[in-house]
Amino acid sequence: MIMPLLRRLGQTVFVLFGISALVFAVFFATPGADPTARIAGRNAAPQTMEKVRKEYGFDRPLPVQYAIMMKKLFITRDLASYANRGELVVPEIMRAAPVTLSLVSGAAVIWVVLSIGMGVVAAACKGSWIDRTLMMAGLVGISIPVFWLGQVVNLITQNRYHDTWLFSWVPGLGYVPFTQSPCGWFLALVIPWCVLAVMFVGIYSRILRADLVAIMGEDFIRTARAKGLSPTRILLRHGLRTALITFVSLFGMDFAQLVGGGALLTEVVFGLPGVGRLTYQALNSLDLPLIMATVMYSAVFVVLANALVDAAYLFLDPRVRDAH
Amino acid sequence: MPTNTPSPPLLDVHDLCVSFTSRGQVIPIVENLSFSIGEQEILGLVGESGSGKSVTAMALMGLIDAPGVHVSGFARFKGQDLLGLSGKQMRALRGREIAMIFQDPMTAFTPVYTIGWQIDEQLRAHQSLSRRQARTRTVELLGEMGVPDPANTANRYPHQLSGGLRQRAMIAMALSCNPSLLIADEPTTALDVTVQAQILDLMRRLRTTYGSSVLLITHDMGVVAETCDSTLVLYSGRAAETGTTQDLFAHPQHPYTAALLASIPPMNGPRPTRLPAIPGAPPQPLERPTGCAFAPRCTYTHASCLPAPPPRFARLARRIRLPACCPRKGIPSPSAFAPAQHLFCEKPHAVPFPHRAGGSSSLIFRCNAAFAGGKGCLQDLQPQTRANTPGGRWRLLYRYARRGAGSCRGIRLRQVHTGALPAAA
Amino acid sequence: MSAGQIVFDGQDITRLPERILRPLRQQMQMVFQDSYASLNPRRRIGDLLAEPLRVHRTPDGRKHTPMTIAHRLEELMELVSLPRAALERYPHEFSGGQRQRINIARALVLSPRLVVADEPVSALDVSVQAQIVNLFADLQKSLGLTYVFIAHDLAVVRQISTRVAVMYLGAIVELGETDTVLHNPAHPYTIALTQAVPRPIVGAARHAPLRGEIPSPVNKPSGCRFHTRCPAVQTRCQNEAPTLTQIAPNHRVACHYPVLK
Repeated sequence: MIMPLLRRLGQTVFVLFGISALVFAVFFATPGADPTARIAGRNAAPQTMEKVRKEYGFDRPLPVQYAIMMKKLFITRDLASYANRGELVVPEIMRAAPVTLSLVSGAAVIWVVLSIGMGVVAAACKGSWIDRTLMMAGLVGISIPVFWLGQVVNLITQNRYHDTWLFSWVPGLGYVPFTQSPCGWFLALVIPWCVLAVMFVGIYSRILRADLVAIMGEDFIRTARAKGLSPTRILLRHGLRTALITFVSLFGMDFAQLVGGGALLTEVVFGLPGVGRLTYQALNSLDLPLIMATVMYSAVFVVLANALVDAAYLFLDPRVRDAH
Repeated sequence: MPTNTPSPPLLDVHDLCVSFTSRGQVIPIVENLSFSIGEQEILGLVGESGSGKSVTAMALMGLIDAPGVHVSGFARFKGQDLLGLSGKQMRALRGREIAMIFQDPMTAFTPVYTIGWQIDEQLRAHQSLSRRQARTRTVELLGEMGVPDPANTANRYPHQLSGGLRQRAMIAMALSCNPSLLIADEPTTALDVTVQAQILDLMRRLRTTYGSSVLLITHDMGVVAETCDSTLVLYSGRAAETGTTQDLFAHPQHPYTAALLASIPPMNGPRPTRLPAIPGAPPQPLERPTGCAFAPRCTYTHASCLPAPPPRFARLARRIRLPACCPRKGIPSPSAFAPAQHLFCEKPHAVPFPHRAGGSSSLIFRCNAAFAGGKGCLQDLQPQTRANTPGGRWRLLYRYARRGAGSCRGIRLRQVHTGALPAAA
Repeated sequence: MSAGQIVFDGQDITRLPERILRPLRQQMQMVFQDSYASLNPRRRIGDLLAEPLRVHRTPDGRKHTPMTIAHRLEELMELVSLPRAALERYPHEFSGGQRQRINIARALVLSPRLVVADEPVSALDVSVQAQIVNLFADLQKSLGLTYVFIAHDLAVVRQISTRVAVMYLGAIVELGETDTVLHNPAHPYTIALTQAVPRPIVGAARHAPLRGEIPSPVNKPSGCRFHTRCPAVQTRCQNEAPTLTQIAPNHRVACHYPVLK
C-alpha cells in the first residue's frame, strides 16, 4: 500500500520539476528579454534595478535563479507578479481557483449526465434514426468552437433578447461567489456551464456509444442474453458498467485539464475571473511568475487527477485490482 | 441413457434455415437442418469451423438478431415453436428452460462482477428469490459442480479462477434454474486435456442428477464418442449424417463422416506412414456448391452428386440413420470414375487442378479459348459458382489472373466429357 | 531470467552474441499456431517468403539474385503443394490449412536443419489437420529435417514424432521413444494424459479423470510438482523433487515411484 503511494508521489515531484524547469528555461533562454528591467518597470532607477536583480538572483547562474524562483513560489509564497507589481501570485491563483472549479464542476455534471444518456440511447437504438440524430448532434457539438458559441450566446442573452421574458433572468457577465449568494452563483454560471459542456457532450456520447456497441458484441453480453435477462438490464448492468471503465479514465483527465486552466476560452468569453483567464492575462503580458504559477497549478491538478483515475480504475475494474 | 421410450422428443427441429443477406446476396449458413433431442439425451452436433453448428445453437436460443439474418423453419420445444416466439416469451424461456454454456468461460463472464453475483442474477431473473436465498442456492450449485470452497469462490471474479473452475461455474449458472435443455457450445475446447476429462465427466452426470437433455456442439470426434448418445454430423451448413453414436462411429455411411474419422491419427495399433487426409478445405458459404457440398472433396463423387443437393432426410425417423449422400448402388468403386484429376491446358504454366494428393477423383477439365489465349494461370482452386446449363452440361467459374497483375477476372472452364465420367442426367 | 544451456550442433548458443547467432538462426526456424497472425496481412506471399533471402546471404557469402530468389520461391511452393500463383496473393485469400502451408514454406526458405513447430495443427479443422501432419512428415523425409513439434494432442504427437518429452509445469516428466512413452508410460501424469484423451471410439474404457488443475506457475508446489494431483502420491513426493532418471534404454522419468511394466 505504501510503495504505490510513494511511487506516485515521486512521479508527481518529477513531473512538477520537469514542467517548471521547462517553463523557466523557455522564458530565460529567450534572448533580449532582461527580466530585471521587466520586473523593475520602465525607466527604473539603477538602485531599484540592483535591488530586483539581487532579490531574484539575476546576477547568478541559471540554476540558482531557478531555485530562488521555486523557493519564492512554494516556500515563502511571496512571488510577485512582474506586470502588476506588488500583486502576489499565489493568493491570486487561490482566488481564481474556486471560480474555475465552480465552472468546470457544473459543466462536468451536465456533460456526464447528458453524454451517458445520449450514448446509451444511441447504442440501444443502433442504426436507427435516433442513433443517427444523436450522433450527428454530438458531431455538431464537437465542431462548434466554444468561444464562438459563447459569444453568440452572450449576444442573444445579454444584448438582443435580454429584455424578453426568456432571458431577463440572465445576470450580467461575471462571477458571484457561492458563499455570497448561492442563487446568484447558479444563475451566473448556468450558461457558461452549458456552453463549456457542449463539446464534451459530443465527444463523450460518441465515445460511449462506440464503446457500448463494441461491448455489446462481446461474449459476456451473449451470456447475459442467454441467461434470459431483459435488454435494459443487459445494456445497463453489463454493457454500461463495463464501458464506464474507459469513460471514467477519460473524464478524469479532461476534468483535471479544465480545472487546471483549460477552460480558458469560456472564462474569457464570460468574464469569469478563473485560472484560465489568469493564464491568458499572464501570457498577454509575458508575466513569468504568474505563468509559472498557473502552469504549476495546472500540472498539480493533472497529476492529482491521474492518481484519482487510477484509484477509480481499481474500484471499477477488479482485474486491475489484482494486478497490483 | 438409451431413449427408446415412445414419448415425444423434447426438442424437434425441422427444416431450420439460417441465412443472411449481404450486398443483395443471400448467403446460406444453415440449410434445412432437422434433428430431435429426447428427454435426457445427449446429442452431439459435430462439424468443422464454419459448418454452422454454433449458428444453429444461437438460432434455437433466439440469440440471432443481427440485421439481415433470416431464420426459418420449425423448432418444437415442449409444445411451443421456439422460432415463432416473441422476444419476451423467448426471454422467459432462455436461462430457465433452455440454458447455454460457451467455449471460453473467461470471456463469457462479465469481468466486473463476481461469479456468485452473476449466478444470483440468473436465479433472480427467473425465480422470486431474495438476495440471500439466491446466494445460498448459488453456493449449493457451485458445490454440486465440484467447485472447492464454493462460498468463497462465489465471491471471486472470473479472472481469479482457473479455466476449469470457470467452466464449472458456467455450468452451475446454466443449471441454476433446472433447464430441460442445456446447449453446450464447445465447452471443453479451451481447457487442458485432463480438465476436459473432468468437465465431460460432469456433463455426463448432469442428465441423471438434473434430468437435462444436452445439445453438445463440438469439433472433436473423440468428445462425441465419449459423451453423446446420438450424433449429427454437419458439413457446410447441411446435415451430412445422423444416427446413434455407436452406429455412426462403427459404420459411417456418409463419405465425409468416414473420411473425417479416418483422418484422425490413431492412438493404438500401427502408425500409418501417411494419414488418409481429406483434400481441400470446406467451402465458404458463398462458394458452397449447389450439389452435394462435399462433392469437390469427395472420393466417390459421381454425376448425380453435382447438379442438385443430395436428398436430405425430410423427416427424421428417430434412431434411423440416414446419410445425406446421393443414393449409390452398393459402395462405389473409385475405378468407376476417372482415375485422376488433370487440368488440360495449352499453356504449360497452368497449375494442375486441384492439388489432390493420392486417391482418385472424377473430373477432368479443359481450358476454353479465353484461358488458352491469355498469358494466365489458374488462381483460385475453389469453384465459385456452379450453374446448370441446358442440355445437362454444366460449367465452372474460376478466378483467373494475369501473371504479375494483381487483378482477377473470371473465365469459365467447361467440363469436357471423358469416357469414364458418366454423362450428367 | 533464464539459465542452463542450449547446445545446437555442438555449440552452446545460450550466450552467443547476436553477430554469431544470426547466421546460426538460419538453420533454426519456427512455425506457429496462429497461421494468420504470423503472416503480415498487407504483403503478398511472394514478398513474405523472399524477405529472408534478401536479408541473408548464401552459405558462400554471396547475395541472392532476383533469379535465384524466384527460383527458390517456386521450389518452395512445390514443396508445400501450393500453386505458384499463390505467390501473387495476400494471406487473407487463403484458408487456414493453406496459410499453414505458407507458414511452413516461410520456415523453410533458408533451408533450416531444425524447425520448431509450436502447436502448428491445433487451430486447424480435423479434416485439414491430417493434410498438414502429412506435409510435416513428407518434408522431414525429403529434406532430412529435425523437428521440435510442440502439441497437446497426443494422437498427433504419436503420428509425427520419434521421441516424446512430456512436460508438466515447466519441467520434463518423461522422455523416451514415442511408442514407449505413449504405450508404456511410467509417470503418473503421462498415464493420466493418455487416458484422458477422448478417442473416437464408442464404449472405450473410461478412467477416472485426474483431479484438480495445473497449479499456477507462480507458486509451484514443493517437491514433485505433480504431487498435488497425483493419484499415487507418497509423503516423499511432497518434499523431494524427483530428477529425470533412466529406467530403461532411451526412457527417462522424473518420478520417485514410476510405474514399471
